Amino acid sequence: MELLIQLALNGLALGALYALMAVGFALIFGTTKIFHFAHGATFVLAAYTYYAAVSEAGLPVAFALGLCAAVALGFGLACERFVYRPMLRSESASLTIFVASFGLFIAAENAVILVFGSSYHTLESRLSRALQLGPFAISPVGLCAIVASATILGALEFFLARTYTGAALRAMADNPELVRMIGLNRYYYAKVAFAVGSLMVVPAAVLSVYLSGLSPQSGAWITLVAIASTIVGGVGSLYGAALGGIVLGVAQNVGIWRLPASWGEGIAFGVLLLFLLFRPTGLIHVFERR
Amino acid sequence: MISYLESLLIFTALAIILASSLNLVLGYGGMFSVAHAVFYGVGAYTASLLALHLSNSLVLSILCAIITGGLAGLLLAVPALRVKEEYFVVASLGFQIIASTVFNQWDAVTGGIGGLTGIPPASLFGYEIDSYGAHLVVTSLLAAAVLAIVAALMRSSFGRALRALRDDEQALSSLGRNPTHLRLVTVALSAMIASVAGVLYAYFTSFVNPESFTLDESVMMMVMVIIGGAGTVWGPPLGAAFVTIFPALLSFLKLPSSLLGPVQRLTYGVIMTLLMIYEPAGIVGLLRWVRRRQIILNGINGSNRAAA
Repeated sequence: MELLIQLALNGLALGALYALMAVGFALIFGTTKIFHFAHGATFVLAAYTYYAAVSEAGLPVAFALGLCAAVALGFGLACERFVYRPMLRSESASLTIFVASFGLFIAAENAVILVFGSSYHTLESRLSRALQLGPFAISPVGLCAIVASATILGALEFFLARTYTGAALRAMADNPELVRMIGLNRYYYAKVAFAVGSLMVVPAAVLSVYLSGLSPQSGAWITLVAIASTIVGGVGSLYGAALGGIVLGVAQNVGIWRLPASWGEGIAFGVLLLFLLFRPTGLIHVFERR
Repeated sequence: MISYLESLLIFTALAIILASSLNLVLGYGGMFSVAHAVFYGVGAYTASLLALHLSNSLVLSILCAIITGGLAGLLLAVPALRVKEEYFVVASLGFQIIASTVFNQWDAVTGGIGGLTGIPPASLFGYEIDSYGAHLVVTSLLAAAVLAIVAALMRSSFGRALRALRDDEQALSSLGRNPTHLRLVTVALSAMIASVAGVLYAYFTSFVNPESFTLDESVMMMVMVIIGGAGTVWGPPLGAAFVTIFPALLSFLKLPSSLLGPVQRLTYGVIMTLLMIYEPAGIVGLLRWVRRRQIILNGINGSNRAAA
């Protein structure tokens, strides 16, 4: 039982990171209807920028964070401006846009491999050492992940609920035609969605360098998780995406309670498939129905 | 050198079978599957197990692989019936990851990470297929057969219904066709064809391990279809040939071997994105564009001459 709780605790820290990725993805997908597969490429680029800045260039952490944010923001906005916008203008099919995004993802992942090699990197910090809480252990980095995730999601909630731009974004998600009719520029709000979504990658990328280490291939996994969480949570709901991320993180860890560790990924996606089959509308709608 | 060329051609033929079968689902059916390597793998494991324990008859192996591959296809088709477009992509990704986990972990059957080794050469009507040449003949013939089948299918009422399903599902069901049934048959058929490629692969390399059937392989198959031109008969084989032969050409550039893979994939990624922005019909679309231009130019020249 103690082991189970410990695993759930590890899962919660991982799930908090997944939630950040998922909410960023869900925000972009919800408002622009663009299936931004390259969201995972933003993650890899940001994480490697941070890693290179801290460990290879020896820059101070604050500076590295800024650099990392600039890269994430730049990549997200460049995708929107140079790939998606021309395609939306020419009214491409949604799957065509998805394939373009997939191409971007493959290109970015391999560009990273060309520069850094495909081996595994990790950073050590004083914060990585586990703290003992009674019978359980959790690393401060894991706690950071949970706190950061909660703070950022709270801030996002405030932004969406209380500001004019946030309201416009919600309107885009709800009814894009109407947004056009009242004369709002949908490309401007798409840009905002990409900027916010891409910036949310930064904490996830930085913390995961400490928490689980980094390899170019981790981008594919993180994209899958972001998309899967969006679906498990319920498309169109940011809370749902966050909840989905936590569920997947916990499932991945708790699943290995009785099975060998290498089954973790398979289990997380088993959960996803079960949801797709039996609850395609996701968790949030399960709760709403009650 | 000859055997190198022969093996390159064998892999091209295998890629053609895989890309053409994926094209049924992706190009014509509009269902974006990224799990095709699973069926390739199921076929390969089926043939290996049969050859190791029971019989190395090629015909029997292909028949069994068609059955197991078809069943695996039905497993993927179940989510395909419930979710569409991007969600199906995700369902197929999940399917691929679970299947990879099973290939890696089910030691008793798949041999785990080490895989299955020492697969004997296949026999066909009493002949042993043990030389590169014989493999090349068999693989090319089957690739040609697959192309012919796909072309014939797409001219039939089945093909028309499938394209109608992709373009307008409501219109199709209002004509009394059952979309569910059609999707099921398409995914299963495509999986069957891919598993045949798996059989040929297993006998050719004489060992199989999970590394040949990963998400990366599935993605490569998708790249072939997309670059060549999804939803056309000749696009996927062209794309397959490009993706298999391009690395061989790249090796003349004398890059360090560790860079070859990433450079290749980087190129594919960039090509895919650019194609989707400018010419979603891939290489075939580009060729069509060139031909249209020529016809127009000829027309202009012709009318100029007539005027003179």
